[in-house]
Amino acid sequence: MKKLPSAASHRVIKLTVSAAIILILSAICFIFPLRPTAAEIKDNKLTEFPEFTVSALTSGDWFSDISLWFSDTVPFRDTVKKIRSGLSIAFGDREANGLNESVTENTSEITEAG
Amino acid sequence: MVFSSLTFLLAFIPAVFICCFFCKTTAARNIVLLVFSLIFYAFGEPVYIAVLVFLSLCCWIFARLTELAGSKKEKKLWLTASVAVCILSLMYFGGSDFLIKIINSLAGAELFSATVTALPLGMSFYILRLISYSVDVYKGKASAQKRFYKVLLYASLFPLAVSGPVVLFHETENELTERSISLKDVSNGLTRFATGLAKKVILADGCAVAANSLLFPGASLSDTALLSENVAALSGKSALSLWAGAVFFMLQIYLELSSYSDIATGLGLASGFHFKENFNYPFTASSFSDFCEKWHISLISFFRDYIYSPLCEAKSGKLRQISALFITCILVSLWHGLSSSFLLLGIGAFILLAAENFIFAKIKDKCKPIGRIYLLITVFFGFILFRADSIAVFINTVKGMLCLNNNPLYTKVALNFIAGYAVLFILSIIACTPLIKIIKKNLIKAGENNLFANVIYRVCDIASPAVLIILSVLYMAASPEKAFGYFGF
Repeated sequence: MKKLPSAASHRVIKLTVSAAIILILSAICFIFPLRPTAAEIKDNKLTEFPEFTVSALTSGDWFSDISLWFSDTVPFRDTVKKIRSGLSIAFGDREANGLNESVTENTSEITEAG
Repeated sequence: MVFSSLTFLLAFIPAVFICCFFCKTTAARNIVLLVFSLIFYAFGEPVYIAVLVFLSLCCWIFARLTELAGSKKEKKLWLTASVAVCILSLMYFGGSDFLIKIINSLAGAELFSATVTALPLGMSFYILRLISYSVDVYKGKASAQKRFYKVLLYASLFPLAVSGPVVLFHETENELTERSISLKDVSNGLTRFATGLAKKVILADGCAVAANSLLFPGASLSDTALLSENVAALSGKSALSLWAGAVFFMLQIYLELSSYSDIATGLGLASGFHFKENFNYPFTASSFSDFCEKWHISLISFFRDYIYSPLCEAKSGKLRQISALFITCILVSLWHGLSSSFLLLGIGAFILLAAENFIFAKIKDKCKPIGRIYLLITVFFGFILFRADSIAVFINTVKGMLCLNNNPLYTKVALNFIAGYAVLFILSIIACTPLIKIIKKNLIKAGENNLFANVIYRVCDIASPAVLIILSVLYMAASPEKAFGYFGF
C-alpha cells in the first residue's frame, strides 16, 4: 500500500502551494504591460500611477494613490470583476449602497437606492 | 496600508519574506522587519512616523534611566515621566478635538479650533506596548534594552500595527533577541494569515456592507459625524432592517477584530514570534465576565495586569476592588475614544462585572444556557450603542426595533435584501463558533484509522490556504480598500 507523506512533507507541500500562489500572483501584478489602462467593458479611464509631489508624499496621499492604482489596474481586471460578481450571488451584493424602504399608505413599495 | 489590500498581500509581504529569507541572524531579520514596519506606517501617514520614533526614544531613554536609578523613588520618577509622555500624546491626538468641542460649547463661542482630526495609525496600540515596556523594566520583569532599534521594532512591528494584539514586552523580550523559525511555524503562520485575510475581505466586509445598508442609508462607518444627522432617515427603517443590521454589525466587528488578530498571529508565527491568542469564541460565553476573558484578551489582560491589579492590592476589601474595577472600566472605554457613548459603555461594563462578581457570584455559572442568552442580549445592545456613537441615535434605533417610530415591522425590500445575504450570514455565524476546529479535529482523529479520511483531511489542509488566498485576491482586486471598523484606534 502506498504510504502517505509524513507530517513534515505535508507541511512542505502546504507551504509550497500557498507561497507559490502568492508569488505567482505577485509576479503577474508586476508584469506592467499586463496592467489595463481602460476597462474593456465600460471603457472608463482607470486610476493612473500618481504623480510624485512633496506635498502628496508628506500627506500620505501619494502612497494611498499607489495602493489604489495597484488594486484598480490589476491584470485581467474585468475577468476578475466578472468572477466576483458571480460570487456576490452567494455572498451578497458588495455594490449595495443603502436600502430605501419607501412606504406608501396602503402598500410597501419596492425601491432600492443606487 | 491596510492588511486587506493587494499592495500588502502581493507586494509588501513577498518583499518582507524574501528579504528575511536571505538573513542569517536574528539581528539582521530584526533590521529588515524594522525597515518594513516603518514603511508600513509611512504608507498611510509618513509624517507621523516621527511621533512613533520620538515616543519610542523617550521610553527607551526613561527605561535606561529607570534601570540605572539608585532609589525606588527615582525609578518611580522615570516611570512616571515615561508613562506621562505616552498618555499625554494619546490625549493630544485622540482627545484634543473632543475637549476643544466641550470648551467651545461651554463658552458658547469658538475659543479654540481643532488642530488634530485623527489619531495616527495604530497609536493606541503602540502606546500600550511602550507603557508595557516601561512598566516591565520598572518592575524588573524585563531588562532595559541597550539598543534603541529593538524598542522601536517592538513598538512598530507591522503585524501588530493596526489592531494588536497587545503584546507585553516581557512576553516577547527573548524572541526579540533570539528566535528560531521552524517549518511548522511558517506553515501554520501562513495558514492562519490566509484564514484571517479571507475572514476579513469576504465575511467581515460583506457584513459591513449589509450593516451599512440596513442601518443607515448610504452612510459608511467612517462618516460617524453624519450619523446623528441621519436620525430622521433612521426613523423610516423597518424593525426587521434594524434588527438584521445590528446583527450584521455585531458580526462585522467581531470578524474584523478576530481576522486582524489571525493575520497578526500568522505573520508573527511566520517571523518567529509566538503571540498569545486574542479571541476565544466570545459569543459562546455564558456571562459578561466570561465574555471579557474571551474578547480581545490581550487588551483586557493589559488593563487588568497594569491598572486593576496594582490598584487592587492583595487582601484588599470589596470597596477597593469595586473602585479599581470602576477605574479600569472607565479607562478601557476612554482608550476606545472620548465620547459619551463609549463612557456609557464603560459604565455599563462596570455595572455588569460588579453585579456578576460581587452580587451574583455564586449563581453566575449555574445555568449556562440562560447565561449565554443574557450575554448575547447584553452584548447586542452594547454593539448598537458602539455603532450609534451617540445616545440620541442609539435611542432612535432601539425605538425603531420596537416599531415605536411609526415604522413598519418589515418590508419586502428588506426581506429580499436580507435573503441575498443568507449564505454570508450562515458562514459568518459558523466563523464565530469553534465548529470548523471541531470538524478538523474529528477528521484528524478519523484519519488515524481510515485512509480515506486521512486523504480528505490532507487535501483540504493543503488546498484551503491557497483557495482562501485566491478568493481574497478576487475580492480585493479592482475594489476600493474597505475601511476597518476599529480603524480609529
